[in-house]
Amino acid sequence: MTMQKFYTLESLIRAGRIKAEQCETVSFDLFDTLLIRRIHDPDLVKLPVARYIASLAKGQGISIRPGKVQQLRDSIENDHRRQTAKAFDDHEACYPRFMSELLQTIFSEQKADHLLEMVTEYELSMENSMLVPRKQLVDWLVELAEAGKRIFVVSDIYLPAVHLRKLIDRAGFLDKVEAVISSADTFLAKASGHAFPLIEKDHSLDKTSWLHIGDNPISDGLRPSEFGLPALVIHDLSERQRKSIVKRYYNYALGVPIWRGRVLQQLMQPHEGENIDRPPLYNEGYNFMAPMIGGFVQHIAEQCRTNNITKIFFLSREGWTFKQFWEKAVPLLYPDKNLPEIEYLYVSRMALAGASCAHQGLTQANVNITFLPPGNKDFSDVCRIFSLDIDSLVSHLQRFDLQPDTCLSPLYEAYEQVYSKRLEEMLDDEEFQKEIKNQTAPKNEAMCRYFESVGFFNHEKVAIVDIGWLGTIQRFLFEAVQHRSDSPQCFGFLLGATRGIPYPASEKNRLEGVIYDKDRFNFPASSILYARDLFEEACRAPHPTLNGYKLTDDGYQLEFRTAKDSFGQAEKEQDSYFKPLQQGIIDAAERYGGASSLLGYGLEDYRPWYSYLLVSKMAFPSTKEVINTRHKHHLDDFHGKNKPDMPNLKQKKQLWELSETRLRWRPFLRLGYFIKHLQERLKY
Amino acid sequence: MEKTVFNNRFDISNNSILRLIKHLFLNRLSVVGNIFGNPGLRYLLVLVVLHYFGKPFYWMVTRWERPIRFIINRIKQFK
Repeated sequence: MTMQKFYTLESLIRAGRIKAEQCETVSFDLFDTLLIRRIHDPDLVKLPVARYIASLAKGQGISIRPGKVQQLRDSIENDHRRQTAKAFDDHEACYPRFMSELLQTIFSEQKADHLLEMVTEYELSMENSMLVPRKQLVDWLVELAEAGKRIFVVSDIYLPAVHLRKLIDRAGFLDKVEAVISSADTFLAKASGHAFPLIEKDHSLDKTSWLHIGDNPISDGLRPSEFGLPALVIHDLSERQRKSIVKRYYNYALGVPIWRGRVLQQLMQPHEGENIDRPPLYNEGYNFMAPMIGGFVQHIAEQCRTNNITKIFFLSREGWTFKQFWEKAVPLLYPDKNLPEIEYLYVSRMALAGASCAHQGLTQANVNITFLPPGNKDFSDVCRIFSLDIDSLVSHLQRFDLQPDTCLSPLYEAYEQVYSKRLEEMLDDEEFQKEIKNQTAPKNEAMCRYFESVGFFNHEKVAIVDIGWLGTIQRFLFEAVQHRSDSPQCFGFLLGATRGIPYPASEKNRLEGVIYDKDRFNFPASSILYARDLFEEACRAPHPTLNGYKLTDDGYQLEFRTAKDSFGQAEKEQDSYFKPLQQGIIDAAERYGGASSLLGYGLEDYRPWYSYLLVSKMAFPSTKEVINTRHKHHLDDFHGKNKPDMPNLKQKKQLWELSETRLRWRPFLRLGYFIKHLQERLKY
Repeated sequence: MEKTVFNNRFDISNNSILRLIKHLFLNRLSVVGNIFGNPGLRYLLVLVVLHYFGKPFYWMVTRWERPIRFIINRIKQFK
């Protein structure tokens, strides 16, 4: 028998179909034939396992570098192969045996058995994250199995068949396979040709009606031919090209930081059956938003481990996406499970603003926050935001010569400085503050009951995760709970921190912008400010915003905004429009976990690439990208409905608000906006 | 129009290697300076060749692997 070589899968399957008609049995090689790896070098999957073993050792007070673990593993595996070669022609090794010896070398013998299970589980999950079933070949395998052929999977690898079965099961065709045979179980491999007689004997096969398919010209071509089997060997050009590209990205990333983010994205990419036609929004979610959110989530996990933070609260509504991303990506990144608990916390600026006044009253800083959005004009806007009953406050306003509609924002012509002075005096008045505290106390009590129910006060250190931008939610949240002796130390993490108003940071209440922080000059990352609403809409949970906390006899009640009015309907429409974008983000999460874990990089390594992504996608987007990705509706209850009449406030439209015609036909438009953006960043 | 996330040149959809090169030129030409590091001209050229001309290149290399390997070895010896 001779082997036949094919350069494409299509031609192999065409020839295979003809040959298989006369065969009862078809055996397939597994790796690089039925399953391909996202990475060019299969040995790279061992590196995260070495890091995992080193972290397990660290947990038990043993100091060993991941590099040393890898070195030990290689030397033990090679010893095993040498030992096998004394009795067999093949230099094979068996994973459970050499891994067990490695663990016994590092840990004590008693612990090694328990650890072997954990390490094996992680190694298989890493393998799984890097393996992709080859759609055309698997489809043909299924077709053959359904036609009544006996299907075998044969592999020369250190993983025993029981482990290979798990990998095949995840790939989805285990039920079509009669047996999985690994050289690790018998030390009789395809490479020497000894595997074929063994399979023939064990499964009573007739070699005159047996076809073998694989990728190795020796193991899958020459050896089965010598045994008398027809063999088809795939020598795939596109796979060579793909692996060659990954290899270069990987190698360049070792020396040049900007390629680290790029190799991450290359490893995250879908292949074969995963890579189907998707809407443009899905692609933006997968290729632009997901790496950014991945870096954000990974940074939070690292900070939690460093600072011994025991619980993370993902704040509604953007935290919904961050939490989902965390659940899919982080288990692969930190297999030692030394991670905080996570919880989705229902909050909003409007719900917390009122609750924050129950003990400290209404502060000047919080009133200033009210008048940051140009749409807020008078004290009725303060009452709307802080959930105050204006009728009970009219008498207090009158005592200081103010009315509910007295203009308190300098952005309006009716404003006079004396009004602000009177407001300041009113804020110093004890009677006024007493009324404020009385009005907001039930809201604070209800909020505390809700926070107790989610275990907020059971931890010494908690992380609070939100999208951005001023940190007002965390500010109000901390002000609402700081009176309690059991209030935890709060570590705030924002995707972007614009710090439009100084944040009252203290030892117990910290805030950090992860991708962009105004306090750390990072000009390219500031491109995120081009379309903040886009990030908000992309990450937003599919439920209405929280209006407040209501005190009830038996506890509390969360009050959500109605979804039936025009704003609610607009939000629903926006949610359904951005659904593919969110799906892209979530689908990429697990692949981010696998890829980043394999590479061993963190946010700081990815930063240069993220800078490029932000500048390229936010400041210099293509017209199509703007048209497809910009949001249609954006609801913000915090902003009032007034229109400022100061002429200098008639702001120029932002780049992402311009018409398609302007975006398409003005060549230097983006550069102009970019230079203006640079001037603004340098000025403030 | 629907597209795959990973294109048939093994590049990222809507963010190809050519887009990176365009931004690098812009970086150098505009007043903003080098804002995200230097990826290296040689690396970029190699990647452009692999992404855009990889298919014919590997077709040739795979079909005539032996003579090409022989030529490469001779070049290495000559060096």
